[in-house]
Amino acid sequence: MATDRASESAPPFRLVFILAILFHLLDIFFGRLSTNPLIPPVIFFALYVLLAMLTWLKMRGTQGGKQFTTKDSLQLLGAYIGISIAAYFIPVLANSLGKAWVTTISPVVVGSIVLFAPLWVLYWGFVGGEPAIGKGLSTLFSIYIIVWFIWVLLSVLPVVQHLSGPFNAESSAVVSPKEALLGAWTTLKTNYDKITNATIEGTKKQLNVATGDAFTGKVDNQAKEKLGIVMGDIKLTQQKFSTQDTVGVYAAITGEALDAPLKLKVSCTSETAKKTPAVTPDPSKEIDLGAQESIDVDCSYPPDSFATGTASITLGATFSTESLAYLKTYLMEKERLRDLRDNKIDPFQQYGITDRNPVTIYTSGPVNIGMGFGTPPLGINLEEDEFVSTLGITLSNAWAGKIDAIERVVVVVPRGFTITELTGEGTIKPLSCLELSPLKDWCDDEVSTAYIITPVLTSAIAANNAYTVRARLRAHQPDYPLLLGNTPLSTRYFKAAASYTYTLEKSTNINILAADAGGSTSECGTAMLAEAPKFTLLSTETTINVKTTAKTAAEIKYCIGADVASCASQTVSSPNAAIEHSFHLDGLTPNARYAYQINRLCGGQRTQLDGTDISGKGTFTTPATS
Amino acid sequence: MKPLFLLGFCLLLVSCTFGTGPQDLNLRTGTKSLSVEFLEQSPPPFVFQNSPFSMTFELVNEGAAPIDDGVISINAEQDLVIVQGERVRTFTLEGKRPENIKGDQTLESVQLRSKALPPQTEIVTTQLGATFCYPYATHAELTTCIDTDIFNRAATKACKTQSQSFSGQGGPVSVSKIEPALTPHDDAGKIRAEYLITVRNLGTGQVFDALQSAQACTPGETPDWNKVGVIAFLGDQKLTCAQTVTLENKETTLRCDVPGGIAKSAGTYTTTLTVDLTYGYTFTLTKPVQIKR
Repeated sequence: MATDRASESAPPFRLVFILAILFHLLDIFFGRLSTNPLIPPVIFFALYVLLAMLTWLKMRGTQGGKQFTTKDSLQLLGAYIGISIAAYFIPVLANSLGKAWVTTISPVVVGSIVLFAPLWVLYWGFVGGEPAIGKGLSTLFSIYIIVWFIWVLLSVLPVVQHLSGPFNAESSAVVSPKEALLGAWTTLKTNYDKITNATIEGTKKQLNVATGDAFTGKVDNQAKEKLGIVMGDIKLTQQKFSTQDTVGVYAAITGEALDAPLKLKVSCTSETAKKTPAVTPDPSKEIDLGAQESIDVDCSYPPDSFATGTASITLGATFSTESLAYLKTYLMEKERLRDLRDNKIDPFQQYGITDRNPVTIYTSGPVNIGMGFGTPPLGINLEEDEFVSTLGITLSNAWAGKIDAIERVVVVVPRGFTITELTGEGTIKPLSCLELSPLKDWCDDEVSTAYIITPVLTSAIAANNAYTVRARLRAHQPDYPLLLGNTPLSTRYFKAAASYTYTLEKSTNINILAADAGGSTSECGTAMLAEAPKFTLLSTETTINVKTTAKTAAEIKYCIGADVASCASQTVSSPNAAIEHSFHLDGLTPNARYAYQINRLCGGQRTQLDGTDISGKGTFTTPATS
Repeated sequence: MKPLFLLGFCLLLVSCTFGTGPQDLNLRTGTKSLSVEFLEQSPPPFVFQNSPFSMTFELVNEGAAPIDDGVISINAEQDLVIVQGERVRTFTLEGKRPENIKGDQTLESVQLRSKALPPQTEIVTTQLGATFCYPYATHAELTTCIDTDIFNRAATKACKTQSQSFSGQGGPVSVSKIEPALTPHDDAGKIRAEYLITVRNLGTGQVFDALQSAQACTPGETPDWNKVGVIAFLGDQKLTCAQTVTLENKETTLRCDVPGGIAKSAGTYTTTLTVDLTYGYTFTLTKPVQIKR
């Protein structure tokens, strides 16, 4: 009886469900979806048909004695065979469609879809559920679906794909669920790490802003690009240099976007040079660079400027320019602000403000300007005599050069505010907007007050570094109406214009070779045999005189035989760069045929030294002993 | 004969009134009060720098109460736009009434001028608009059932005392629910009658004290937010309630008593619960305008 009860309560389709999973796993690892298929496809077709038959037989046996008509039976069998055929073909279709899909969808996703394709598993998981396959398998199926969903979500989310970097379609042309499975863990882990890191970075930036380290903003995409100068890569006048060479480098400077011709000075420097270079254009004179114009900077260090080893040469273009920025902020009476918040009224919504967190908008150029002035809306307490706050202005070096000097920072603040002091070193001077030419359009004495801040810069600001000016702003009770205006929430602008000298520079490292290792590479590289080698042959020794067309170091290899390439050769060197070389070979065997090859030693390279119609390779025979 | 017939027919047509007669209108419905829209192209979606342009609103009082001494505060970023004329203005508008079932309307125009853009800047988007602050009132007349037979001894009754929910009564702040509570009185010949009245801000604006429109729309003294004045009558009898209530999360419920209770001898009858709500209302209308070089 107990056995009967157990068999009555056993889920009727558990076996079918397990078989469906097994067949699919076989397909993945040893079948059509495997990179190395061991089981032929026809076997899988047979297995899926078998699954349909089993399901059909089981279904007929679980109808509580209901009699199936022949028509019902055939319909049921047809439906199950249909599912089996679909289950068989979906992975095949997915694989053939894979190449088209992978251009837009991650292969992990395509692989997941193929993996998710076992229709019989889905059928019993979703349609049959717990009564068909039992509680345990049903729970496992639910967990599987949730994991699969998270996996696909993490792979598909644009933000995650963005973090994952560009998708390489070529490497993913083959869709393999097995690979997808194996790659899933890596994908999940990588994306998790990237999201976590991005969050940490974001938090760090926020923290920096909050603690006043730096103020950021965004470039004015709508603005005309004021400054776009590109310095091309530094090129060398020759491939190799020795200490005796004139070391020449050059680069092109192009004005890509300039609203007016830029005056710049060029420079060429090297910390390791012993001599001054010749530079064109003249570094002491300013040259004009207009939009779409280009100038070549040439720099030549005379011979003996560098010792052997690595020499670093830096080409630079120094110019003075200006970067502009503005920051919008909102001011309110503090009491009104508190009242609104106490009454759960959003001040921004109440007064139709959509730009809730305005950031500094700056012009594109080598220096980005960020500004910060508390968190808007700022409350001004009408009861207090004085309102004090700090305006932070950060100048960030956004290019690869350096900010040599900051001549001045013009700061335009809403009328009613007064800049009283700086937290760092520097001077402040108020002035009229009319004195701000050519920025006078940008400043209106009726609504603004302008100041010139001259900061003290102790050293140049390198790439990715920043300099922050912090100005103390004060307003007094009579000034409050100016700041608050006639509306409950007033919008005010802070503006800044920084004038600075910037040096755009690029460096190159050159390996300076010793001159005695081949002489001037520019010279030795062209050396050839000026005439045929002259032999003074004795039975046990020989002198070979060689004359070249240019100075070079040289050597001669020799051995008994027809060719130095096929015998164990000996070498005699002439290491100094010279035109004439005399090689003395001794210890020779009398009456023997020797092969020789004369080589040029230049820039660390060894090449056969030939001349016009003269070969540097040949044989000689020593005389017999007299 | 024929002209006379035509004349008579025309007279008949002229004397006819189409649609619902004024006597049938219930104007105290809905949750609207002042509706404001920008006129098309005023302000335009973009203007060039140093150019004059205008901003015109159409104001319609679509509620059932008049607006007296409403305040308009013009919002413009002074660094980018010059407002020519007064930035703070007042207005008065009659509401819906039998003679004008749509409510009075008016146009308010503001002359503006764009300023020069900062160097290199090609486009700047500025937010233009106005904040409207005005006193308003909602007069709710709600039919309610008084059943002095609180122990249900009578077999049949004219009506049943129960909670009732309501939509707007011609203003954004309205009575949304009344819950009568009839309980035994110390005097055996009477019953105690209380009403829990729920007042809700059904609009999208904010509520403030009815007398503080100027404070709500201009800096300086701040208004009392969410304050609503309440006067309630049951029939002709004034109820004892808080004179002013404060909305929290746009809603509040106040208790009003019938002073002295109601004589049991009055039986079961329907009467009118009248609730007068007075408040100030404010909202802001804005539109982005691009200033181009």
